[in-house]
Amino acid sequence: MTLHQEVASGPDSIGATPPVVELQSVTKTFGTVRAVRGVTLRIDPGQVYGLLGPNGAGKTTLMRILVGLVRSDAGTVQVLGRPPGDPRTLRSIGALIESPAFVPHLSGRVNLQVLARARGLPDAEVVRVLRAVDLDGAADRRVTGYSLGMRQRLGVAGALLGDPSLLILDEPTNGLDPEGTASMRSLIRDLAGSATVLLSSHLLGEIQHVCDRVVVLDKGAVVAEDSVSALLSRSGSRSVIVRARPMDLAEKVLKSNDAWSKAVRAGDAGDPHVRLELDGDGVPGLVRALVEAGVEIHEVRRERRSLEDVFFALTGDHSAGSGT
Amino acid sequence: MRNALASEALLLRRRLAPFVVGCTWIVLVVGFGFGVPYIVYATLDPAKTADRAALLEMLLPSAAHTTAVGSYPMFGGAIMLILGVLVTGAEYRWGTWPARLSQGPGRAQVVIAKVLVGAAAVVVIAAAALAASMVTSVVIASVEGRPLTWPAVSAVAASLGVAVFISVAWLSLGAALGVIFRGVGTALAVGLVWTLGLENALSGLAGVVPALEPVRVILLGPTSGSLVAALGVPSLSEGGAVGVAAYVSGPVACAVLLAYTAAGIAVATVLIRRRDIT
Ligand SMILES: Nc1ncnc2c1ncn2[C@@H]1O[C@H](COP(=O)(O)OP(=O)(O)OP(=O)(O)O)[C@@H](O)[C@H]1O
Ligand SMILES: [Mg+2]
Repeated sequence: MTLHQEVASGPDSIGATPPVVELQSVTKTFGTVRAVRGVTLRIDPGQVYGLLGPNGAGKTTLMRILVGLVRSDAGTVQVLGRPPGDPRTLRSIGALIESPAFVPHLSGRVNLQVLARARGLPDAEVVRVLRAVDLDGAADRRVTGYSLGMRQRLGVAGALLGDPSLLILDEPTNGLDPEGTASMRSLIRDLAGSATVLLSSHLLGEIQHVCDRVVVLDKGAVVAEDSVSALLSRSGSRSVIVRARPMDLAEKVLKSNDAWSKAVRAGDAGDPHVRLELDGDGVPGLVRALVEAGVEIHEVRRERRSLEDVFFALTGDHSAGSGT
Repeated sequence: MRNALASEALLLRRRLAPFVVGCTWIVLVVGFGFGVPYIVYATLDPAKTADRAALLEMLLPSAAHTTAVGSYPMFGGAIMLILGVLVTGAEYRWGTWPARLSQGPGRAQVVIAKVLVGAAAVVVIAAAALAASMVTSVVIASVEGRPLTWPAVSAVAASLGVAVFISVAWLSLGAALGVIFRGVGTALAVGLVWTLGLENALSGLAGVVPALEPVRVILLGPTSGSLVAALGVPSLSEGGAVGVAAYVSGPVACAVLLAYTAAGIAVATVLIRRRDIT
């Protein structure tokens, strides 16, 4: 919070709020693997950003670059108005990157105290964050004995230390039970406004509910950056689903017309249907043609796309599905 | 830097490593510095009066501090090297470097804080080992019915100082190895084989091949032994401990040990600063 104000009153801000993160053509190569290629991105304060992408898309690498753990090969990176990894910047960032790691034979509380000391924070702050993730009951047990979800909560607690103005969470709901996922969601929503949140997840429904904006990475490059609503309306509006009997006849009718020839058979034997791209004023003509051919129409409906469909459309990844 | 030190101090205090290493060392010093020699003394042919007297002399309070410091050039150093490896290498094993290096303190600060806190632990361990040696020698003196003659405080302080000086050099080397090999296992193996094996072999060879003698100047073990010898502690050939021998002068030994300390810290720092932390 304070940092935003500080940055906002800085010399290089004229009018508009300066971005929290600004990336210009950022590239990172590990050996022969180009993990991040030419990413240009601007993250504005107070919003929740979702970072999406298939496995290996470069999400974690991008987050590491923002925290200064990994240095980019090319391009410029500014985080909270400074280069990444700057000590003053780091104190304003809370990060949980990949799986949380702790000293196994120490308690959750001591692990957080070690981090808090490094930030110059009192132990009271540790008590606060432990309560925020609902872990105060297990705080004095050794981390070795924690369940996956408890570790994840401890990791999030660590990221919350010192009320950071930028929160970077890499798959924070990984391993959380439904209740934990829900409380994580409300936690993140509560933080939005006072903090900027960059959140990666493979749970697209999660992202759809929690995030204001979404960045989609594929093979290290940004393939989309938009508000959730814009993304959803962008590519979902033209898909129409037709359920009819007999299906083969319906398909034949559709294929005979150039406008509908891209129709594809979808669904399984129990629920066969056809999906095609069609503008709104094309629907009556389609229905008429089918009826005239003697096809019985059960349903014609415009498909409401989920973020998942948009995601697959953008990343061209139909096989993998959502992993973890 | 204050934050980094506070954080690392809390971490090391809560860790098992310094306690295990410290206790092991105390047991080794008492056992091999005093226990074994005392058994030898007790079982030695009573006819060899001179040998027995010399041996007992080393185990009494007046010489306890020199006997204690005499065990550093080889075994104490190796123990401190293990502590150094654990200080940096364990963070790789736990995967905690990313968290450690993203809290605010710069990477160099974190590494230096780790070594400094490790050095503080070394001071405590060396002091505890000295105290245990003193107590053991008092027990031996009373069993043997010898009067308690105390060494000069300055002599005790000097031997503690030398013990710490040697230990910190080995600790720093260990810390560097932990970073170089990104973990504990390989770093320990390389460190111990190098210092206990390779260095001793080289130093032994130098005893036979005079052309190799200058090599001893840059070896950690022989220079540690030389510094202890400079304190007036008897060398192995004079009935003292293994590894104690005046290969080089005291000041040269000091300089070499300092160089090891500086190089260890520098290598660890440079590597941690340059690498991607993943
Ligand atoms: N330290 C590293 N050394 C070598 N290659 C790496 C390293 N870190 C990441 N990579 C490679 O960079 C690419 C991007 O990895 P990254 O972890 O950023 O993907 P991700 O989007 O987080 O994937 P996931 O969804 O599986 O977490 C991958 O091909 C990965 O193999
Ligand atoms: Mg990842």
